[in-house]
Amino acid sequence: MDYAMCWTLEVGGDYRHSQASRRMLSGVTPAYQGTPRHSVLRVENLSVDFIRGGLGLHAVRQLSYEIGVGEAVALVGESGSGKTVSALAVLRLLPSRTARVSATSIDFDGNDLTRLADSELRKLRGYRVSMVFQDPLSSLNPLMTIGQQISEVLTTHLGLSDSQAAVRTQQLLDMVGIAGHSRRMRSYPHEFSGGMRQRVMIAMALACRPALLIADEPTTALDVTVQAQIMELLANLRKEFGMAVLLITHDIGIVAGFADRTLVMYSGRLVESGPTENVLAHPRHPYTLGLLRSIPRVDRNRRGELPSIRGMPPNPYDAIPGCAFAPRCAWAIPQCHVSSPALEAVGTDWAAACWVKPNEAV
Amino acid sequence: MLPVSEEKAPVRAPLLEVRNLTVRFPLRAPVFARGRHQITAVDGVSFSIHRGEVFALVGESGSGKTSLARAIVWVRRPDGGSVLFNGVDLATLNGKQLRMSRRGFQMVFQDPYSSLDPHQTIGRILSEPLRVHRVSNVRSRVYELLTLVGLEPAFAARFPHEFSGGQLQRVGIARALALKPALLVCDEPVSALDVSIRAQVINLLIRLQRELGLSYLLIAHDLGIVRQIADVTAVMYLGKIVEIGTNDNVFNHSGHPYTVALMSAVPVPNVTVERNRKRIILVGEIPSPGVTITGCRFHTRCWLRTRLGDPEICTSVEPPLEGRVDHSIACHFTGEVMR
Repeated sequence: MDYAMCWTLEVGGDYRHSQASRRMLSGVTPAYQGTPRHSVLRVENLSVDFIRGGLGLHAVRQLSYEIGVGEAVALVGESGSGKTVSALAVLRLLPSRTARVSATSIDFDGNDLTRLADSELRKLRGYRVSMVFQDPLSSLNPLMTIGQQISEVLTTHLGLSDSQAAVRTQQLLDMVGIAGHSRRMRSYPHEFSGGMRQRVMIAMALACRPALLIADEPTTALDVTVQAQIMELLANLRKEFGMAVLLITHDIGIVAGFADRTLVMYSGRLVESGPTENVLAHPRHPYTLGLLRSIPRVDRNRRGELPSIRGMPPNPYDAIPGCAFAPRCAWAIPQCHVSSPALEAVGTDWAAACWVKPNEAV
Repeated sequence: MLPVSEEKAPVRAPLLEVRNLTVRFPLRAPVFARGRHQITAVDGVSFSIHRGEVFALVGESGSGKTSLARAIVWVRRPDGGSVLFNGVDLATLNGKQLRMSRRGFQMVFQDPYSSLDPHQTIGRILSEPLRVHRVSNVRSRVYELLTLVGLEPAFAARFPHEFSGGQLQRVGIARALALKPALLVCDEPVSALDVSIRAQVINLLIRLQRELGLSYLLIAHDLGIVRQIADVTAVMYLGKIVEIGTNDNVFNHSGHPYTVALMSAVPVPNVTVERNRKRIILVGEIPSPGVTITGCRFHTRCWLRTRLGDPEICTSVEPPLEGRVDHSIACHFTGEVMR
């Protein structure tokens, strides 16, 4: 299918990506260009604390990362590791009453999000950066038809008229593989299956051709065969549009076929980051290594007990003096329990926050 | 207790035998049309589980695996077919006999947060089945159970909210083991847990199975786990088993196009493997069980059928589940799958 067709309907001067779409129409795909030094998002020293009943919870600590133009980056971690919170903090979507967000700078597409006025930020969200969530049913409005919800994005951000928006909505549904538009556009979210709803969410998120798509566990609620469809769709659309994607997931499996780089979070901190190939095949942080070893793999004839990580993730309310993973770590040395290691380069564009940095194959 | 001489059950008889089991649910419909509108969640499923065997049931949501499990533990009486536990048909038992029989098969649920009463201490939760079945020495048995699942006996005095998901699932397993069952029905036992905790609970299940000689009916959508621990695997699609066999056969010599697609859809955390594997991406989603499908129930999404140029038989004749004892497949063109 020719996705580029969707973008031939240019509207006024407001539509910023006309040049890119013209390039696409001429058959040149603006794909990821190697070194991501031309970044779409650069986060520096992001910390998030939640204050509840006088107790402070450090959800994210000193997080720094960068996403290149058109790059696919995976943010991996289990529940409570701070992966979702950090993304919400970047877009200033956390409740200001309970969340204390601080950062040296958050540079998105030439804007410093830490300083940007709310009204300006609102214009960016859904337009230059958009989000897809885990549960499409709760993120869609149950009282509005699918068509109305997609059109709303187009009329709000692109200033399209209703009829223009309707045409474009059809093209968007086409793009995400939903056939039978006119009937589908009049349907309500509950009439769609989980996979179809997620396709609608993706259509809405991509309606304005964002420079960055943040996909938070986009396939967790779906079956594996549908997960494969959605991940393929995301990968194709990303290539077509040269869009950067931040994939937030607890499933390190779906990272391998999708992300250029992988960031691993544990207990609010980035513990390893690097090219996906290196991080998955030869992780240098014991948590990444332990996690990969403990996953039963469908492509292996292995039986019996799995090498598991002992213990459990720390309580986020507890203050941990050293490395948060040390109590569960098989490689821990006395130093690990005393002081927290910073990210240190272990290769090109590859870093691990560990005093030991074991060098073992998965 | 039966005198020894009356024990006629042959030694090799299966622990659990499911024969032609059918589960239907009524659909909401106008009063006059009621009864005609129903969906068949489980459509004539048969299999057996032997002592000490780990039997896995895999399939996507809507395949009927949970309905099947609920019918097997007799939470919901099946609409057809029978369940034989230790050679005894559960339908023939009265309430008291059923309760006695139930001691032999217990269930472990997916979500330990919602399956354990938050108002009761762990000790009370674990002792309830013991008191119902009038087992003596409740307290020592509770301590014994906690130790068995790797928890401290002192935890008996605490409440569920004081525990993590992994610990609660251990409590759920301990509760299921309280009456010394021979069979545990585990419905997605680790899918609600954190990734770094899953392996611990899987290992616990493996250890308990070995040490206590248990049998498991494991319901899971995670094929990695199934490959790791099951002896026999059955793949369900829209209420029927489409492939069943020893793990080696089902995983290494898959004979049903759905099994092949399901396995190819499971992501593997290795870039080289992901790059080099042929992924079969199925079109669409599992159809609603309310829709009548003629012929093979998988034909609407079958990649093999497309490759073979839409043979007529796929849409007209339902393929029977046939083959050998250790590997049966319900596909007209199973010989073409491996090509």
